[in-house]
Amino acid sequence: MKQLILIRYGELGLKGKNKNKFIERLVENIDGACNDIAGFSVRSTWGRIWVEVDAAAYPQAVARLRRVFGIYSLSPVVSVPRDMQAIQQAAYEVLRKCLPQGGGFKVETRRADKTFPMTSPEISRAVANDLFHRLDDNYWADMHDPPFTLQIEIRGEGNFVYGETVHGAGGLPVGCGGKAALMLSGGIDSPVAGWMALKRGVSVEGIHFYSFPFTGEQSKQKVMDLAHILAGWQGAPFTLHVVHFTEIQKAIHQFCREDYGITLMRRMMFRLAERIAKQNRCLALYTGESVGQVASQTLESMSVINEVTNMPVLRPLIGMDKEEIMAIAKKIGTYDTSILPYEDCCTIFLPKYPKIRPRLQEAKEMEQALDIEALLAEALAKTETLTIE
Amino acid sequence: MKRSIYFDNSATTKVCPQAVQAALTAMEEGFGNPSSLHGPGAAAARALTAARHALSACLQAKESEIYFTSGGSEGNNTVIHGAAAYWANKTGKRILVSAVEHPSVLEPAKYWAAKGYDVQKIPVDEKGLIQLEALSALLNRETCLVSVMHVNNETGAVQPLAEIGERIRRLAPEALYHIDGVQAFGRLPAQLSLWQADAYTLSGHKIHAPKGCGALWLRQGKYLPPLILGGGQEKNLRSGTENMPGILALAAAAEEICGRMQENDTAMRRIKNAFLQGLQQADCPEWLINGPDVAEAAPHILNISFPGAKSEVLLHYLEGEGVYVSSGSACSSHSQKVSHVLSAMGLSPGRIESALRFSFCPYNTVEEAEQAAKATAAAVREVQRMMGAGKKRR
Repeated sequence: MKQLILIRYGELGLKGKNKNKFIERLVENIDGACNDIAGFSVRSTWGRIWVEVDAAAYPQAVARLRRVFGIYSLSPVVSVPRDMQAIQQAAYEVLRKCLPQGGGFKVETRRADKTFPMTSPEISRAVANDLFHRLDDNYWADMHDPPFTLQIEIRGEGNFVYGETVHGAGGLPVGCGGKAALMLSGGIDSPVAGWMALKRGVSVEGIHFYSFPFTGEQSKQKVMDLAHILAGWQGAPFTLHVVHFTEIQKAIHQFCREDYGITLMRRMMFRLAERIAKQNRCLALYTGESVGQVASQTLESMSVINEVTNMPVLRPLIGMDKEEIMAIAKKIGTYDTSILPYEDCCTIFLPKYPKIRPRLQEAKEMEQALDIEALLAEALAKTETLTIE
Repeated sequence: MKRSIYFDNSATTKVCPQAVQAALTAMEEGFGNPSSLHGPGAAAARALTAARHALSACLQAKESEIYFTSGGSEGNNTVIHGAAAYWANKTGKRILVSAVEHPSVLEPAKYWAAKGYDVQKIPVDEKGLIQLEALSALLNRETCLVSVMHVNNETGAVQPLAEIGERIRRLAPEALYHIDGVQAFGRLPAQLSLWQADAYTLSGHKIHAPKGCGALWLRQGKYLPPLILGGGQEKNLRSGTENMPGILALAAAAEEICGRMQENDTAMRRIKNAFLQGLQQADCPEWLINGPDVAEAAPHILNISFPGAKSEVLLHYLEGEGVYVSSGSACSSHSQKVSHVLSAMGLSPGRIESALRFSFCPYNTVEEAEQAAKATAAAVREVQRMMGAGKKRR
């Protein structure tokens, strides 16, 4: 037996001429997410996307579809012949399944096929009458604020009855918004920032700064695990650039003032990220920064750090509190990995009193002590690019 | 090929060929269940008896006193939970453990402390050895259990077990005397009678057997209630179908290592000394041995602090050179996880944060020790330079 699923894509409907491209992308992404599910097929017709799977695989399909951005909601649908009796029988079965204990409900009909002999209100009334004949007093009509709406659609391509609606991830299909580079540490924030990029349809590549032997294998593995989770949301393998950052850390530590350590380190990170982004045709940088969270995320720090790049630096968490960020991290499944103890920066490099309001002039003066080009070139030469499924 | 020097044998060991062969045979041929009534079952039961016999010979104990377990943590838990649940009814609720025990002793003890038991930690001196006078002061007739290590896993300190036993028998004659022998078994003789001990825990994977097997020696006449109930295996102390591949491998590894204890001791001390000499020759900056003097410590463990260098960074530096060691503490900006063993010895924070443990096995070589010493000296110099550089510009 097959189960038909109706996919709604809300926001996509607003995109005017580009609409078809978005829908094509969404269909592709759905295909990518589900094509190994038994009996899977997907097609788009008349402003709808339809997925079909073997009935037994329905829960698995729903779980996958709920992670595909661009899907606003979805409903399991019963397809019926163009016949009132069949429609009424299907309506009864769907209602009993969705409201087994009874409750208030409403019947709504949309008739696109104007050759059908009854109008929409007539169909709704006929179905409701039939239902009340069959049901007990535990069911009643609620026309104003129905907890449950039974939907009937009479269309050229078929006739459908459904009731249950499952929320989707929302957003836009990944890939229709270009590609960006995400600065991915091992913390709580940056994976959430990456998720928010994906949610708006932007594909993401990760950049991680690795300072072995000041941090261990485990800290790299942790970032790879986070990349794996993001790959699931992306619906495609996740490219992770692991930058050899050790020599830069050491040089800053050795030649620059301790309180400016973080500022200068972040400036180097942004320089590297910009170059890697350009090499890989990424149009923007994403970071997990939020104003005021740590010393490097004050406006003064951010402006001094940002000065090294002209690329747009997008910070989707900029106005969020830690609690809010943590709530998303838990929802998207990155939290438990992020809180593992392996850190991406050794305590050796963390100044006791980091500069909270660094000055650009001072930062530039201190950088005189560094051979920036040579350091960047070496770090890039030793960068390892991984593809994480 | 990249060099690989494994000096972390107190964490775990490579399985020896004899143990591999024994496990393989048990999996491919003698795979019967010792409880089965047919021929293959009887064959497995005979193999189990032979393994028990082999292990009892290593401990100079009776076959009937050997109980196979899943390893050190299970042995320690069985004794502590059992003593608290059973022996405490006869004596009282005092439990003594040393301050430098393994977490698989300290955590169960903490569990009973939370249940209202009188759990006391026996202090150690600056070398990590139990303070006998303090022990005497803590022992009384209410004491149901004393649990101490034979060899400390971080420092290699060998506890004065005979003196401890003598004091227990004099001041708390009814107390169960348990020795955690996980780091000692196969390296130092188990003199169970001389120590007047009641229970001794050992683990397979520290002596070149696989993980997931171990044994508990429990003196005849002493009873402990089981942690796992079921089919009544191991004379009701430990239910569950016997882990035959593990048990046979454990017996094979135990016979191998106990049969060569003297020559292994000599070989590992030679390795240890070569390492120390190597540090000297490589002009390693300041270094301090933690724990007892080298000659008095167990042959296979060496704990050294390199003040001014963080141990975790040193560890990864050495890893980069193909030398694998262990650090007692983890450095993290959120939590400072410090070795409870070195803390109990009263060492300074700087010394604790810079401590590395090198642990050897008979399969290591003097050449490895010399190479590792060179790598260590270089790593220490590099890391100290890094950490010093920051300080100057503060």
